[in-house]
Order: sequence, then structure tokens, then C-alpha cells
Amino acid sequence: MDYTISSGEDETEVRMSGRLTFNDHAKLRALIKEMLGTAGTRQVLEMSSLEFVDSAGIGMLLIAREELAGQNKQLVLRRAEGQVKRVLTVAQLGKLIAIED
Amino acid sequence: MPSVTTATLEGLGFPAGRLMQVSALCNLAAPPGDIPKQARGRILMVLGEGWEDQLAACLKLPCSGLIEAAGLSDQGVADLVSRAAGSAFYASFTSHAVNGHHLAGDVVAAITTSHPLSDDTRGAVELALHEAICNAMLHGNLHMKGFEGLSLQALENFGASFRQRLADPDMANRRIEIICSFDGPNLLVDVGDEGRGLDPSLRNESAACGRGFTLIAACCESYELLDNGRHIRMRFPA
Repeated sequence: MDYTISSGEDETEVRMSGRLTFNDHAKLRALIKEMLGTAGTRQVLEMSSLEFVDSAGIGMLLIAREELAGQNKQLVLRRAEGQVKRVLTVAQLGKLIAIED
Repeated sequence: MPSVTTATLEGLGFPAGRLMQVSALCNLAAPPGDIPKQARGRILMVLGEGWEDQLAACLKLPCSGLIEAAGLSDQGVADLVSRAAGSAFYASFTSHAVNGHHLAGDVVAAITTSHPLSDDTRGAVELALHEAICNAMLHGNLHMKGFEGLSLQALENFGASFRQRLADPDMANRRIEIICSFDGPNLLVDVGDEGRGLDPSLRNESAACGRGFTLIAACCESYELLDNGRHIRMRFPA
């Protein structure tokens, strides 16, 4: 998985691409730390270029949500498509994390 | 669906001399130099050094199996070739080789060279197979729990434990076996590991993990756990 991050006063956007699987645990840790260091209260993961996510990827998204909530930041998942959108639906992640089209 | 007994052995980074030896042990067709390309039929590939960067191009050809040869003698490779007989597709990889490589994608690409699947079925098989392979590697062969909490510390602990276990040759060389076959209209995908089987000590109530079987169940028509959890059989409408 690769990402680019851009942050403004109110919102940080992370554009993700590739596959998000358990192998990305170190990269997700680094990403979460970067997100915690930005000012925005809305932390958006832009997923339109993310091709694949597995159950470990779901777990890492929940970890991100928890860590960000600890600093009063809201995690938002935006524009998930295809396989990623299906997995988010099956895992019922919308009950725990805000999902936007 | 032709069985592996009609396949040709080819090597990818695997020494030609050893490939000849394995071919002789299996009584299979000799390597490519002796057989015209169009007559080779389906290819059972033995992977040696540096296969990772070359594999994608090779999977455009009809492929009946992938055997990663790390740590195996010629007889060991031949034994796995024999295990591949009768299946639509066979794969055997060490945990070390599986790490960082999207094996489920390769398997699906190989199956579809001889049996096209709809996009939906292809996606479902790929995800369920990926989850089964991860379970086999992490919880089976490496005997690991998943993330043990909703925290950065849990991620760090997971990473440290993963690196430590993958550095253990005994664990890293444990194999994951994938067998695909057709049962009438259905595709059966079997994934097996060399771990201890279902272990209550690995039970993890953390909210960060435990969704693997949920995803598998959503993708396949049915699944069953065999051999005390070392083996999962998944059924898909093909």
C-alpha cells in the first residue's frame, strides 16, 4: 500500500493506493502517527485507488479510528470502490466509521 | 480439466540439471528444450531463485501448478509434483515465500488461463483464498495471534512478533499447500498448513481481528475446517 498525505486547517486527506493487507502493519503505524501530527479534526482516507483490503486491513482501519478518536479527530473513509467497498460492507464497518461516497 | 499427469515441468530460477532429475523421478515430460512449445500442454512450474519478478509473465501461459523449491531435495520436489496429480491447480510455498507476495492473485490468474471465471467469482475466490493463506501463515505456520488491541502498540507488537517468527527457519520453512479442483459445477479450493492446528491459546477477543472467517463465509458457498483446523476446504460456484 502507498499513500500521499495533504493537510489543511480542518481536514487531512490521505490518498491510498495498492493493496491494504497485514503486510502493511509498519506502514499503517507510520501513517497513523503522521495523521495524529496534523491539525485537521477530519481525517479522510481517500480510497478510490485502493484495489484490495483484507480482514487485517479492516483491523488496522479500526486501530486508526481508535487512535484518532483519542485526539478528538474523526476518521472518514471516502470513495471506496469495487472489492474494497464490498469488504467494508460485509465487515459492517459503516457502523463504526463514517463512510462517504 | 486435464490433470497434472499431462503437464510439462518447467523451472523458473531452478537449475536445469535438477529439473531433469525431478522430471525423471516423476516420469514427467522433459524440460522445454526437448518439446515444441505448442505441445507442452499445461505447465507445472518449479520455482527456484529470483522467481518473484518473473512469475507474472509466466502466468499468462496455461499453468497447472507452482512449487516453490526452497529447502527441498529433488525427491522432495518430486513428492510435491506427485501430490499435484489429479488437481486442476496445485501450489506449495514456504511461509517465507508467501510473505509480501500476493499468492492468491497468482493462483486465480493461473486457474483462469484454463477455466475462465466471472469477475464476481474471480474476486470472491481471490479474497477468500487470500484470507485462508494468511490464516495458514500467521496463525498456522507462525503460530501468531492477530492484533491484540485497538492501538499503535498492538500494531508494533504484531510487527515485532511477525519479524521474530519469520526469522526462525523452522517456522519460516513450514509450507502452505493450495489445491484447486472441480466437483461438478463447483470449484473446490483447499488450503493447508503445517502448524499445530486450532489452538485455544491463540484465541483473541480484540476488536481489531477475527473477521477472516466472516469474509471467507461471505465469499464462498460453504467452507469446512479439517485436520483440526490445519486445512480449510472452500466451495465456490464456478
